Amino acid sequence: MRNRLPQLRRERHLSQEKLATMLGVSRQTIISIEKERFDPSLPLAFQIAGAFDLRIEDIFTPDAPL
Amino acid sequence: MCEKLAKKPCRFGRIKPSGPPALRLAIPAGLVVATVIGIALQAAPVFPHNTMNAWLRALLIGVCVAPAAITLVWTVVVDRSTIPEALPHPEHSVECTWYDQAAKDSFHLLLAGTGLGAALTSFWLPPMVSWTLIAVFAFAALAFAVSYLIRRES
Repeated sequence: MRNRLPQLRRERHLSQEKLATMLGVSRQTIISIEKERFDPSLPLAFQIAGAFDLRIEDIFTPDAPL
Repeated sequence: MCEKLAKKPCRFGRIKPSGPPALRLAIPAGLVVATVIGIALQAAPVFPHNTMNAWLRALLIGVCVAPAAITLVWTVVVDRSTIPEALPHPEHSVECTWYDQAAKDSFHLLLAGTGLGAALTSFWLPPMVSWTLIAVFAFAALAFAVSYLIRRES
């Protein structure tokens, strides 16, 4: 799944560590999501969307159109 | 130690957010468990020709078991939200996915290894080796089936 997490994070001047702390997950999780090696769980995706005040589909898009 | 600063995080966590340090309960309870295990096992016929004093044998077993017993009690009594640096949502972290994947791979390798091993060793090695591998295979398969059924029903 593709995502705009690195871009959104930089726009809000958040470090990976800070975002990880906000979401209650490890920094490695943020790194893996940003490198698109790990698809977050639905609750985590909702949390990420909430942290940026956006909808999930504004951040994550499927590789192939549904 | 930690109790003087009620809000200060304790390295090994607390029983509850405003409660005493978890180790304060885990150490004595773990030692009691280790003592009971030591006394119970010293009479086990593992070494029938052992001439060591029974109390010394119980002490040695208790000393060996104590770290594991203390750790076990600690994992039961500690409130993980009170452990400094503990992640609030480890289940959503990528490490959890890695663990699940590694467990799945290990299980499949165990089945393949014991299954093939049982078949191959039956030709060249004593039957006990093959039967042991079959028993391990059967136990792993049974554990999987029970785990699967529990999840399906819950």
